[in-house]
Amino acid sequence: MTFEEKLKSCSAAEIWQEYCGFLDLSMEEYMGIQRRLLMEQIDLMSRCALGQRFFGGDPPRTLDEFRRRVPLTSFGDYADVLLTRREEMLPAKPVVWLRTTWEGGDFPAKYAPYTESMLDTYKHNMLGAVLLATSSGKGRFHVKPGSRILYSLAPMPYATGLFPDLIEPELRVRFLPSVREARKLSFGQQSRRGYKLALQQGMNMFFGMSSVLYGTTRNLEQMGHSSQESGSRLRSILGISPRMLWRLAAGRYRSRRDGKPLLPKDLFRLDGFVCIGTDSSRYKDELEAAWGVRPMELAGGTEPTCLGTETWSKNGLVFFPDACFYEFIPEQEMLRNLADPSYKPHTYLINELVAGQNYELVITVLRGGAFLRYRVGDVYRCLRLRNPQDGLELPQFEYVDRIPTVIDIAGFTRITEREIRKVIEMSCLPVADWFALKEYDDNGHSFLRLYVELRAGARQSPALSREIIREHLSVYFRYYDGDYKDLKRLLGIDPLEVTMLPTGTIARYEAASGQKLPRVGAPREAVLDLLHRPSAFTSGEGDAGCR
Amino acid sequence: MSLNQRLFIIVPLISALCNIFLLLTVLSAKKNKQIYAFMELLCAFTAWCTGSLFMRLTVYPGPEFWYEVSIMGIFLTPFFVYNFMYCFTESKGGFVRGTLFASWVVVTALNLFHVFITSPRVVEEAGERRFEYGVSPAVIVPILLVVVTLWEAWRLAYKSVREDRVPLSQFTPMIAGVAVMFACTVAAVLPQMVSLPVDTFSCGINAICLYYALYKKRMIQLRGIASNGPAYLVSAVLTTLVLIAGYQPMEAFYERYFSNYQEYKVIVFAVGFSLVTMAVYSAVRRLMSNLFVKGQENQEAQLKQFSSAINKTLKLDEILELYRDFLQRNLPGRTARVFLYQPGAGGYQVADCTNSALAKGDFIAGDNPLVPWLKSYNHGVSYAEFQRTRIYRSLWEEEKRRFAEMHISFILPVVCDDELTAITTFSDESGQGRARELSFREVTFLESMAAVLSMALKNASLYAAIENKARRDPLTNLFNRGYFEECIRRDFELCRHDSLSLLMISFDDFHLYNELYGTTEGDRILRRFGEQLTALVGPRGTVARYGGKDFAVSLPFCTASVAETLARQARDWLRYEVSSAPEKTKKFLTFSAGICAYPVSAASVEELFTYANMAVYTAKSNGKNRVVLYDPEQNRQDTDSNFQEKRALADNCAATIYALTAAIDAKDHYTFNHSNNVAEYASVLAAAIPLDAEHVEIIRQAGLLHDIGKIGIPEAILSKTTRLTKEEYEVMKQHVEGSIAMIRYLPSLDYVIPSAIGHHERWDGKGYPRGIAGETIPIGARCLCLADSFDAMVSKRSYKEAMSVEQALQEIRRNLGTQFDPDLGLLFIRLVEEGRIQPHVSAGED
Repeated sequence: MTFEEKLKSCSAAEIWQEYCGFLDLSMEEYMGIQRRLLMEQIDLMSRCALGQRFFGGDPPRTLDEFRRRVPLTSFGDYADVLLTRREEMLPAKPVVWLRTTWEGGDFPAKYAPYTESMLDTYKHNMLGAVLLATSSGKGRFHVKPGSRILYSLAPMPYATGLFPDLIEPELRVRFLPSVREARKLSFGQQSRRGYKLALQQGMNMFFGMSSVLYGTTRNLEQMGHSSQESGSRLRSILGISPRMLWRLAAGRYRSRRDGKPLLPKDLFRLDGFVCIGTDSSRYKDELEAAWGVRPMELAGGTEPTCLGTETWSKNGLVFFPDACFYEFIPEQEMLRNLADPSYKPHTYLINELVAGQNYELVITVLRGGAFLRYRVGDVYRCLRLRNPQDGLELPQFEYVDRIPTVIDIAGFTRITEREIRKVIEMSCLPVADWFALKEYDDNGHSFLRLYVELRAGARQSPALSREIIREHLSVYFRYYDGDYKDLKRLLGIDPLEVTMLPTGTIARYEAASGQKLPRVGAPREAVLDLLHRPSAFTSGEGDAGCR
Repeated sequence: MSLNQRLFIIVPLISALCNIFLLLTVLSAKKNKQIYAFMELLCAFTAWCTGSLFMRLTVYPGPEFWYEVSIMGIFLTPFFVYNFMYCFTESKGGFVRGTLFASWVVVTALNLFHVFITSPRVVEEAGERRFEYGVSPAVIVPILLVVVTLWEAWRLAYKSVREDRVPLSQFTPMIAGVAVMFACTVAAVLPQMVSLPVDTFSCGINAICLYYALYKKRMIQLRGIASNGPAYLVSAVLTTLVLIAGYQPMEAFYERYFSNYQEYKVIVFAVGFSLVTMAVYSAVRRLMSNLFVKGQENQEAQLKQFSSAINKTLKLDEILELYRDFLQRNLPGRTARVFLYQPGAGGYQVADCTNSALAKGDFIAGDNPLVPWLKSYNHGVSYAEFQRTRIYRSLWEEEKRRFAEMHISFILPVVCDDELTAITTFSDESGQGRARELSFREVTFLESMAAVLSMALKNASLYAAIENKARRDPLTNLFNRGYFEECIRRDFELCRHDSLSLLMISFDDFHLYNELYGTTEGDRILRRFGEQLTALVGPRGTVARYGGKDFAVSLPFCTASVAETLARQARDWLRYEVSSAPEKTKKFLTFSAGICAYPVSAASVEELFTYANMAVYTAKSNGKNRVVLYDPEQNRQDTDSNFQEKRALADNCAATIYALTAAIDAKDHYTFNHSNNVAEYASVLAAAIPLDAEHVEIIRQAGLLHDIGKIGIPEAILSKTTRLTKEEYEVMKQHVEGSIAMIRYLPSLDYVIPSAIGHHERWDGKGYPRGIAGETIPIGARCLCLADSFDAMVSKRSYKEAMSVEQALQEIRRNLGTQFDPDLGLLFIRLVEEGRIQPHVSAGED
């Protein structure tokens, strides 16, 4: 029975129970599901060559044994199998391979196999998320066949591209643009085309990366402003439906009357509004103000599949119990491990967390997935251990960011030390030392700040001003990283800022503190010491802290 | 009377009867607050319809009275609808309810004073009678109250559905009833319908819908319709109709043909009417029973029969067979699989299937989320409902696939004392589309059956537990000797045309091990060894503790080589176990194992035991800590050395044997020669069977020693010339135990004991000392028995003359199958006749 048939023949309570019933799980029941599915995964893994690699000839028999014996892994541990797509070594036959950027890896992309069972789980969880996105409370949802969905997420073979393919057979919805058309377009073209169609026909749901949603919102606001001036752009919108025309006219009228810009909420009445990606929490308030609906956040990725969703109250992610087996490395343990890679960080299970603590996520992909105790590189904050208001007995999370060694800008690009070093090398600039940080502007939007020391004597050259270096490096970033290029193209962002440091500042800091400064994701305290206590670390000849 | 007038009589009449009928029906139901609420509503409907009807008919005390009755029914209906909904949804909070009740009481009371509607005015026009009402502006009050009351009722229903307390489907009949009522109320104000009694019509329909809602909620049963009350009502109505329609014709008929019997007319009519009433009642009862009760009664009869049959047995197999038959009979279109809890397997193993072609070794693991869910749910449930549960997510993919392959549509738990004893799955194996859902009645029926089954299974499992305990050795929890012998006989029957191996294991010097390390350690090693042996054998065979330090393994469908491998694995494990102990002193414990296989080396279970024990003996006498395979062919070639050893041993012990026999000679001269003769005859017979040389030598030695126990028998009895008294004979019989007691002090000759001890046993089991029969008697003992008896018969004794050889042979022939082994006896006779046994006729006594 498809989801649409269930909508017709089953009661709302039954549908809710089937797709969102996991929200009623007690912690004990949740852990029961986790343990049981982990044992299935161990069983599957023990029968394949990849599993033998981690288990030897003796698969773990208990959860404790599994955590004790299987090491924490990264993509490098699977690269030889997954990059060459050696299906015979995997626990189950994959039906689709998804790709994503391998930040800091030896190859530009990394691949993740998806089995049929994983896709079923993915589909089931995504349908649950759709119900939740349209819900106003427990069991009260509003999904109707024929809804128009503006889907502004990366297409296949990226993980987000799976959603339209999986949902279409289950529920008659109209993607803007259609799945078939979207396949022929780039992500940027797809977003623009979808938005144009939404303006013409209206839409009921909007799925998108938070940064793209934000960009789209700004575009619309700007379009509202310009239309007030000339109206020429509106005239160019042909084929607009009467309903949308009415809403547009009414919106414009209200906008003029109140002297406020035309906002998306004047045009669209969204049943569901879903956002995904880094910095979602920073965009949510603005998006809510513009669309009149607070976006519901989803968590996921290429390796972990769709792993969590917010509920109707949109104030924290709940992880699906059957997507992955979750372990968490406390932030302190993670930092200690980053400083000393030989240190083995401790992990905690989802029922062992502390509210308010940040954790690096470690997953074992269930249902025949390939990854065991895999460090995804994402950091989540445990917001609370239970939510009595929503009747949840499960912990809720907030996506914080990537791990400190990866700088994720707007969910588009992930910059590591390796990439920056390569760009600096290619630029042939006389950079003596550097470190990079992810920072946020006054609007709360992220950018990459590169602190640069030029070689001794190079500062005298007028050709090496801060702006010129920034432009120069930006060119090479765009050249080296295709995703970086998309930031400018799709969102109009150039996320690089350069700060010049006096030559030798970093070296002196390291000598004085006795600690090596991480080149990417250095601790805030260290950076503050370095920048704001120049007497301690600088020679006085430079312009410390000058931007 | 016009059609309209007739309609205004007929429709309320039918509605009133319908309501009274339902009221009588629910009177027989088990009362609870829902039933009471329904009865109140039915009363309101009845008042409405009856009042309307009697008002039209101007029945005493007059239209005004019946108008008040009717209007009261109408006014009370909204509140009773609300009250019914309140009870049906099991809602809480009485404020709204109380307020509404009070409001309706006040409104109804006010209406008695015609505050809202005036009394009807009878208008006669063109021979037609109409009732005209007048309404005051205050009528808006009851109208608003109706709206509020029905809104509250709807809110209760909506809330209960939203909170998942009552499924929407249970409201369907009520929604239909309310829809009809609403439609009729709206229709009543239409000019075309105003002349029709649509309001009273809706009362009847609504009552039926509500009745169905309660039935669907399992609160009332259809059999209530066939109870006495409704049957009386229907009979009364029908009889009255018969009387009304038939009185005049009958009276005319009576007047015409029986005018002379006018004085009996009343009596005849009264009797006739009574008879008609009885006939009608009987017919109505039967009709109702057939319509509403028969199916249920059939089911109850089936259930009773099943219950009775299933409670007569404690055997699980028989219970399952009865259950299967029951399911096949009652749910012929479905395949049912019965999964029984197997504590050893940690889950539910399929024990039976109504479609034998589909019976597979399916298994539901104990940690399958279905199990705790069914246990807590404790009702039959559709598989789709389980799929919707949150714990369904934890099902393994393999489990989901298997459930899908089985096309399970319905699952029935069998729970007893909070334990899920069994699970029955029902599936539509055709796989064509969606299976028909089981009806409510079928589900109820199955649940009743499950309750019966649960007790039977519980009793069977208790019985099985006791039986199992009786079959187990308490120390090792392995099967004991008695049950093992049953098992191996069963295995033997199964393997008639295949192979069966018996492995006997005996710890070497275990007594010494116990003395060195203590009995606690000895018990521990026995337990551990038992566990390990069970693990090694697995499902291939049966393991038992055969004696204090002996284990036996039956391996059906396995050759001797399998048993040999197993024995070697067990030996390796034992070596590792005792040597890897943490103590400083290295322990040492070994075992000797003997293997015999059917049909290669043995032809019967007894032979399997005998030869396997011989193999154990061989292993022990060859230095212990080894595994010996009994193979007659191999033995014949290999046992030359054994035979020589036995012979040498016998030679070494000859002095002892002769010393013993000489002692008898001194006491009883004949016994010495007799023993020699018996040894000779028996060994010739054994060789002719043919047994291997080693076995023949054992029998020969047993022949020499079989009567040495006579040393302990008083000389007066031994040399008595007359018949022995009963007491003397009892003393004489003790010589067998005496012989064994003496041989036991010759450890190197203890292998002759099995043959020597049984030489007075009879084929028919009437011998002594053990009274064993048939092939249970060791073959050596059977040989000795023949030789002993023959020599006794042909010898002259103090109390009798010698028989001739022919007479002796005739006597043996006569006792074949009673005293003697028939095959061996015939062979013995043939050997004597052929001269291969040369009888010594001069001496001997027994």
